[in-house]
Amino acid sequence: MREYIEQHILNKVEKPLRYLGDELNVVKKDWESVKLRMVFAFPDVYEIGMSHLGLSILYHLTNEQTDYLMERVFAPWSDMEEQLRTHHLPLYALESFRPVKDFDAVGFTLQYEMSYTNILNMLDLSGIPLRYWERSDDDPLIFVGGPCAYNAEPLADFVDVVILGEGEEVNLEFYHALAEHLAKHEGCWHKDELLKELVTIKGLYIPRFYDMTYHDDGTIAAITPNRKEAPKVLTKRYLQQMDHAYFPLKPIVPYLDVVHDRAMLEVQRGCTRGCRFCQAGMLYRPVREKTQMELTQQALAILQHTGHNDLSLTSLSTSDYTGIEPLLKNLVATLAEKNISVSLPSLRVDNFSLGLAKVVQEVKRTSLTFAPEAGTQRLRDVINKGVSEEDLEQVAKMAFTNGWSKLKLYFMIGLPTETDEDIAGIAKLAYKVLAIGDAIRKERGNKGQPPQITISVAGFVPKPFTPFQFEGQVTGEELRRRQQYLRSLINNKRITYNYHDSQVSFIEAVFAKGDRRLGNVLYGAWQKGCKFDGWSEFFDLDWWLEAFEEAGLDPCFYAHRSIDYEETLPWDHIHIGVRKSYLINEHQKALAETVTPDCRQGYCSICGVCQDLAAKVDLKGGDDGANQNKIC
Amino acid sequence: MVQIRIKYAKTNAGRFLSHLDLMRAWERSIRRSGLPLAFSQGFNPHPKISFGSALSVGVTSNGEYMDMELTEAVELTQLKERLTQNLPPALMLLDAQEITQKTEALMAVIDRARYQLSAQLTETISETHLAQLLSDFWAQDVINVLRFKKNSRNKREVNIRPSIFALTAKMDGDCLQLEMLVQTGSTGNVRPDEVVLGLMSVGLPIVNEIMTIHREGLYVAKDNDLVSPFVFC
Repeated sequence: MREYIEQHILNKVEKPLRYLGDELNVVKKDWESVKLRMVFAFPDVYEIGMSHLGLSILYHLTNEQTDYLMERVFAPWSDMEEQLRTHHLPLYALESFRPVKDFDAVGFTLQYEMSYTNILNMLDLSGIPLRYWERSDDDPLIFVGGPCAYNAEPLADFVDVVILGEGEEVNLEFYHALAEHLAKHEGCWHKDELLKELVTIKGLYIPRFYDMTYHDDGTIAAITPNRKEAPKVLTKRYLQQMDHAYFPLKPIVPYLDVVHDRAMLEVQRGCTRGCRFCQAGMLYRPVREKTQMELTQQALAILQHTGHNDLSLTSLSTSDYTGIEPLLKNLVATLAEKNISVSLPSLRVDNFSLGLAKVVQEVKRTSLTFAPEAGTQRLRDVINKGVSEEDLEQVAKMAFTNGWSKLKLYFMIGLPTETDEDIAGIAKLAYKVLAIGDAIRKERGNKGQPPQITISVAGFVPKPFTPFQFEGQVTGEELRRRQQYLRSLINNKRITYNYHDSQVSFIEAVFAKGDRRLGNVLYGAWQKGCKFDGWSEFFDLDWWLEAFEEAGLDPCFYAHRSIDYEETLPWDHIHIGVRKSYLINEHQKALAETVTPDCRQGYCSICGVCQDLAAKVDLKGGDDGANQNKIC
Repeated sequence: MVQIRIKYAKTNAGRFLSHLDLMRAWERSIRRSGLPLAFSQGFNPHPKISFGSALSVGVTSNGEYMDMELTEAVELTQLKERLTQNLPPALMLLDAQEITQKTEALMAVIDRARYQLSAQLTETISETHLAQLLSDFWAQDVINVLRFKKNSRNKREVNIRPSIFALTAKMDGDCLQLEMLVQTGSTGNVRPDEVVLGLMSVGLPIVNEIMTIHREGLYVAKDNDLVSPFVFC
């Protein structure tokens, strides 16, 4: 198969390297010598999938175990799909070129709702029946994980097992159970029996073991386990000790220029700033840091094994890492002589962060990005984004004084309680920052690049497990009106205004908060040709609307409806640690324009993570551990 | 500063690397091997690496060249060992030699390339027919192919006949196997698929699909002879 694909297919597609494998540090294991063979399936293109740290961690962690083998597959671009279909070839895994269907289990990562149709398409290209009841014991087991798996209900028809939470521990327990089962049954699945065995593993959710009943108005009446073994409430898994946690030091180095073409090092997990729109902030609690010493050692090892010339310190909010300043200074000093740069993916709007930016960007001083998220103080209090107007002014002043000329500001539009005044606030802020830049340039006799501001405005999508889950999304029409209103307020060549298509975020909102009835919509949309829905060149709203109509469902019910606190939500049987009562309380505080401080500042708002999961905030402090376990 | 000239192969796994992919792969390999690579001065330091004639995407090769500059001397056996250990599956080290600052740049000296090409024809032809085609081909003074003009969407005709120095052909089932020596480098460049087009213009049956193209080597033409770019070392 490999030879045929190489000779007759790869020369006919754009970017053949997406489908060839054989990168540096790839792991090829002997098929016969392992007890369990799996594929990590990423439902988007190679360049996106290979930029995903989760894939790298789980791929290498799994392959370091003697008994398991894990290969990779990505969603083929339309040209490759056409070639595979014309030549009647199945989707294959990159390491061995074996058909995906030959593996024991296929795990899809759910990073984005708009990649769901790609999952269906990849199953179809593999020759695997889409719905679980159409699959036999000869077909691979289909499992999912990742942030969207916390509400995987729209995929309930298509998956066997959902993994809730961070995979480092639960995945290995899961694989162990799978391998035992295969060993017991001479390499064959007895899926009915298997699923019953899996129920005992904490963090594994089997959607078919739960019945959903609905009220006449379409809301959920009850979620009931239909097996006595299935727990009423499923709790997420997490890793308490981030230091000494598994981290791949020899990650795959793609030949292609992937989205994040650099060495990535996770410095901590979790963020408790408590932005009320942010799903990751709720899902990945509590904050757990790695020690500086371990991070420095890992950084050097990864760079040694990959040869990358850029190191990115990743996390939800890297400038919050307690030892960030000494860590950065140390790394920059060590790596500068090797011509390796260090980058920070996200910066807070404050002088401290700007100081960090100065440390890392000694050389390439071009553009700087901040995310105030909303245009007025009132709305920033609603969303609990702890940034004041003075913070932003100060940072702008410092940035321009220190030689930056381009500033990027990220905002959201369509936020709860938003008025035209808040939207006008975005434009005002942009003009104010520009004026600050102009004033500083004038003081210096108008030397250097004139300041430039870019404002990027995304449409707000309410996500489950956030205080804003109770909110409806504004209609597409209203969103477009607000986008145009902001457009009308910006009339300056040095302010660039970017905004996103509202139609995609509408379908995203539906699936983010969707229930399992959407399975039919997903199936219908895929049959009509929907795929790569996150890509504007593929997205087709009409196909989606037809699919909703044929399934007898109203997308507005899911996207636009505001939800009652008492309502049973499709994800109410999933416990992420953060309690629903906390989310309700936070929602009420949002409407009252009251902020909630970060628990790392010493005030515990009892979100439930430390109480219900017995989890601990784990801060290492600037002194590499002496200050650890500061209690919230 | 020490200059090193490297001969390497682009393997089957590496044939789809673009020139940019190739440069990244080399820089990373050298970094991994811990060799003291030299960088340009300035705000955006670049590694001092330069390549010989660029290779089309999809073509494998057994004779590519690259020059790199090191900040200090490294014993050659050790250098080869370290590079070999650190190259990705796409690339294979064949040889390395120290050159002097005075050695002419690869781009300036390389002017010949030898290719092997395998193409599937719509019909099989006999050896005699093939021999006739070749002699017809050599008899032409002008064999024009269309090429894009620089920075333009328009094409112009280019006579490739003077830039083809050797051409042999044989049939293997319905596959045509060609071996050719053509001009390359700054003085002009002939692509192997253009030679196939040239053969079609004198009567070769339609080519169904070009299956593989392999560059056997790059050379310098000198006094009716071909020498390796290492000879100038």
